[in-house]
Amino acid sequence: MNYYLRKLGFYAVALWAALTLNFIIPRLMPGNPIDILLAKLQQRGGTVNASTRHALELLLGGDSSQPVIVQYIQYLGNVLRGDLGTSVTYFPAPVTEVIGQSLPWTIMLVGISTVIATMIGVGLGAFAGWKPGTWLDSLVPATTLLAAVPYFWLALIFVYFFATTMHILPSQGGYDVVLTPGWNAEFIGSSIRYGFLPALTIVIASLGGWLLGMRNMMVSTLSEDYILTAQAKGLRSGRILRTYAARNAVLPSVAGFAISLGFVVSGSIVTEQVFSYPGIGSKLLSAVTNNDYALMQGIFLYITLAVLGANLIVDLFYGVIDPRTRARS
Amino acid sequence: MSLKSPWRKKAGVAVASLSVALLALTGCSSSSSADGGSSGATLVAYTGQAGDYQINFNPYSPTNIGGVGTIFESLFFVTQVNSDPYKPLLGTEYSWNDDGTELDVTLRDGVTWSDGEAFSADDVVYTFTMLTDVPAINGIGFDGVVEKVDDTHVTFTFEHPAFVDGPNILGKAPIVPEHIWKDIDPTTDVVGDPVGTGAYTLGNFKPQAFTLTANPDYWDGEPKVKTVRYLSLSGNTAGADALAAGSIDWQTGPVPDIENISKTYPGYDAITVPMNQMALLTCSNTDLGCTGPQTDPAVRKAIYYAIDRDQLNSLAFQGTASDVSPTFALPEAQGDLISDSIKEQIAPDTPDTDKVATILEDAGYTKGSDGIYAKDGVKLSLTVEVVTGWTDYITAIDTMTQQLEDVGIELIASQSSWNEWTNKKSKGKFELVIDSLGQGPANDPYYLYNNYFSTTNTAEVGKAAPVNISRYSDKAVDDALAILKSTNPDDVDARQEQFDIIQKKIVEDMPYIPIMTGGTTSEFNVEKFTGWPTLDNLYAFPAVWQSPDNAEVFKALKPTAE
Amino acid sequence: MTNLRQSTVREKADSTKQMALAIGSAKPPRRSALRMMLPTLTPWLVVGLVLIVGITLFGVLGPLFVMDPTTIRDIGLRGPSSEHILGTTQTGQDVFAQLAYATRGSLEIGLIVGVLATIFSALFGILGTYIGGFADETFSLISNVFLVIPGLPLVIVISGFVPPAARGLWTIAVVLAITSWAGAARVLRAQTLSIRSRDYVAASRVAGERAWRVIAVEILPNLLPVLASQFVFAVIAAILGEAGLSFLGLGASNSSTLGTMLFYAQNGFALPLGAWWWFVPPGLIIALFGMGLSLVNFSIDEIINPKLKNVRLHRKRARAVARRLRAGKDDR
Repeated sequence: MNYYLRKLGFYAVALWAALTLNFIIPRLMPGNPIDILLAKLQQRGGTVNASTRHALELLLGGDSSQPVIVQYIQYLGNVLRGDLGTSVTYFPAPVTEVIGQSLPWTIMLVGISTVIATMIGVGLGAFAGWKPGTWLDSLVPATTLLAAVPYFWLALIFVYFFATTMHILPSQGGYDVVLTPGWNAEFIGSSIRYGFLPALTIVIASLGGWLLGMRNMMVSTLSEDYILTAQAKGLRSGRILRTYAARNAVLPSVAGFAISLGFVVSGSIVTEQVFSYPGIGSKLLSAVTNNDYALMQGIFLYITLAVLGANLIVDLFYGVIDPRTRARS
Repeated sequence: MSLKSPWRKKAGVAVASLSVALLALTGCSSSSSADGGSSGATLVAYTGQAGDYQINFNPYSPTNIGGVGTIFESLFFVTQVNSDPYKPLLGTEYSWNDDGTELDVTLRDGVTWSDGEAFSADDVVYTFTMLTDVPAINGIGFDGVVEKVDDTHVTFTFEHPAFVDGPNILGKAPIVPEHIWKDIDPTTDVVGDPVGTGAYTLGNFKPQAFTLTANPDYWDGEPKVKTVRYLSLSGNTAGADALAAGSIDWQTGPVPDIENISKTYPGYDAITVPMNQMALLTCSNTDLGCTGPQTDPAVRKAIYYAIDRDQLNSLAFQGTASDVSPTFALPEAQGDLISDSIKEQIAPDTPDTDKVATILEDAGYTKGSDGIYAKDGVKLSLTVEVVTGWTDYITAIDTMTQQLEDVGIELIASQSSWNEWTNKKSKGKFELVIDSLGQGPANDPYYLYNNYFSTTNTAEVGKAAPVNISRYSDKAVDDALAILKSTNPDDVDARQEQFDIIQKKIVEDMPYIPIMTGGTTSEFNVEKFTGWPTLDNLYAFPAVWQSPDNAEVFKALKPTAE
Repeated sequence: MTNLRQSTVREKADSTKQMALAIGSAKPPRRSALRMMLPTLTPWLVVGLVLIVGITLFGVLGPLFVMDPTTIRDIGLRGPSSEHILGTTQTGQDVFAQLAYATRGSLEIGLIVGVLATIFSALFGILGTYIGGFADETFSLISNVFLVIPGLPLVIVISGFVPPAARGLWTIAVVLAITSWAGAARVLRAQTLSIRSRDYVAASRVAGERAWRVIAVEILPNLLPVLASQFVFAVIAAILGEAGLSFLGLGASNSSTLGTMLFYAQNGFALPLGAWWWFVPPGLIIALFGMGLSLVNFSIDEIINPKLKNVRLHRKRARAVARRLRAGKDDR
């Protein structure tokens, strides 16, 4: 029990440290939201003069109204209460609303792609590792090319071929905007059509890593004594593959999978940029370019919680399946 | 091209098409058009909005996503692109008293709000009183008192001559309904269900797109374009792709092969309106703390004569830029306001190497062994600040670096994030910045002079300057601006006298080194709609993001299908 | 660059977890250690080395031979010709020359990040773990915090503090290094834990060896393949990460990298205009270089996990036997 308590305490401290960094880093950025908003208004043809600036300062609050330490304590208090403040970029919308609007899109797209990539990668990897030397296995090194391609470059080329040239798939947006989002077949079908290309590119770009990891694990596992025993017992090879080899070999992939699920929340800024996808990544990008402290903090909070949470689960999970870890700590 | 905004420039996204689904609503009428009237009357607009819309139709919120002009109307339509008399909207006539302290406005009779209530002078009084009561939304700086005379007349009174505030009051203050707004907080309410007098009402809103629907009870008759759909995409390139796919009808921004729009994009046409002067902004004033070679007017002039504007236009601006006047009056729209005393009305297209040499040598510079001028052992080397990712400006600087090197001036580009660049600019911590100058509410160089050259709009280095980034401060210019402020805009001669003074000073001192006038290019679908602005009939600024000009365009368009 | 970080962490997490298990189960190769540390020359390894050496040479020597990449020509966008092998950009700059300089820039970033990230991860992963107790907890805490540190604003923050003259490559490299070492450190920690408890390590500690000596002589050599593999991944991740940041317009300012080159191509509408010669080569170089590194990593994997190699050898032997059998049959 002590092990778990210590782990939890450890993660609580990590969370606090991460929250503090999330508070500090945005405030170290040059510029302030007012100047940036002013510059934006001006570039959009708005009339800007001293009184505009004054008005904005009154509306959004000055940048130095309170000492930083007071802001910090308020921030921690607000986080505990679940109040993430008001976004400047989307003023006066509260940060929770801004995030709540885009998070589902990101979780669906990136989450589903991650699951698919893992399943295909692990499945193929298990096969390649099970029968080393087959044509499939000898192709494994070639998959490294996929993992090394710059993601947006691949995505743009895909878009060029599948959407611009061949007109097979839509390339921009999350769904057909004439539809109203809801749980009906038309909308869901449209979302799938629009999400297909982004998901495909994510899967292709991340498939290789899973495949390779699983394949290597499989090869190592196959030389374990218990596999030999199983073969000696005369079990069918399909049964050995599923029940003995793959089941043990997949453990590291499961851990990796949990951690990458944690990162799903941070979305994929590049994917969302390429496909104009309505997710959290583009929100983060605009928060950063607009010095929108509250929105940045809010998104980081979600990312921090998800990633640390996933890590915690993996740690606890390993504590359960591998007693040695527990003893050593 | 010259209008920079990070969310438009930032992430280009290549090739794309909204093909199938959007074709359904733009072209043929498909079965699944869930909303909006007949598809032929639906106009799809892309404003450069990157990422989702967050609902906000409050015309006084700096983050509003639309509705100014289309839903909420001002008293008159005032535009920067022409000098036509202000077009009557909710107001029908206005008149100033002689010293500019009183403005009488006659209001339109028989107008109703979109919820059926009648519009009256009370709403106008309420709107302007709200501005003075709530300074946080008083971006136009209204400081007068408004009184109702009768149901169709109001009077504005000021403690100072307010001629120059006219365009803002008449044209940039959308009138809101008192019966609804008296119960809301104008600073934080997003007005999700906007009630206005305009030609359009809000159709439906989704974070990825929203529609405006024609108002059947509009006082000027229901507009022909029945539905306007605003889309969000992720940037310039996404817009260009959507255009290639024929899925948007109007957008503003660069597209590939901009010279041959109608060939590359069948059914579309484009218009490029010269609007914002691109310039090298210099931190010019040593009294306010500027340092560096650019504080010497001779250096600024030398750069001015060293620029090869023809080359710049073709390489960096795709040929969309046009002439600029060193007086910063727009050559096309304000050409007759350029002082006759200025010999060089337009900045030269090609560099004048001899002149550069004369100017610099007269100012005490000598050419070093490396071919770069120097004075008192200090090399004539200047750093120009630009935002990482603003490719046309970066290309322009690369080009200018080579052009200036040829005449003996070293230019070093320094790229920084948008955040840092904005900060440096407003705090005055730079030598040169490449940017474009914004215009005022009306077609009148007074606003630009007042914003960019007056002492009131600047601050010392280290403090944030609202607009006058160059820290330029000159008594003669300030005085002339003060006189202009109390001169009736109709008194052309009296105004020109002051313009002469200002222009002479700023050409001499040149705190902003004019590069070219940036053209704003918009592409639109001429197959589906007629009535777009042309250079001959520029009734509104044809940029899709420019409110309230876009509302005038929507009202003027007619679907060809009818 | 969260998505890139995501994939790197994942790759590291699983490939290294499996390494951890592999090392844990395989007895440490004390005998013929040196030979075991050297990779066997497989065709894939040769391909990888050729790619790496070729691209590195291009990046190192290329800029010496090509023309000035910044020279602007009035000819504008042109396809490949005898004068410009890979054509020109929108402003008439030579693409091939830019490619050479950009490759050099990207390689520099990769190298800087690879070195920095490996040092950081070794420091936090090995040292703290070896000392154990409070130091271990603290170091491990720091790793976890850095795992979630927000990279995107950090780019802006850090570049704000760097004087403009020193900007460019280093800013981005430092940011990428700071945000990328944590995953590797976690893996190293697991490895070190396992090695630390081995008898020979315990023996040298009992014998009174000083801590640094135990780490340097007993522990580090065992971790070398893992560190090498992490270095390789860090280099790939850095080059890809830089490209991603550049795509968002936050890349290495004032310097030329493959990422910034792609950004310019992208913003110059290279693809819609059909200017493949401007858009395709930079991405291809990144992909091929990354592939080369991954293939080398393949061989490193075989060192870390000898079973992988055994499989290959078995296969080879089986093939040889089959050949012999066939040959024998023919004889008869």
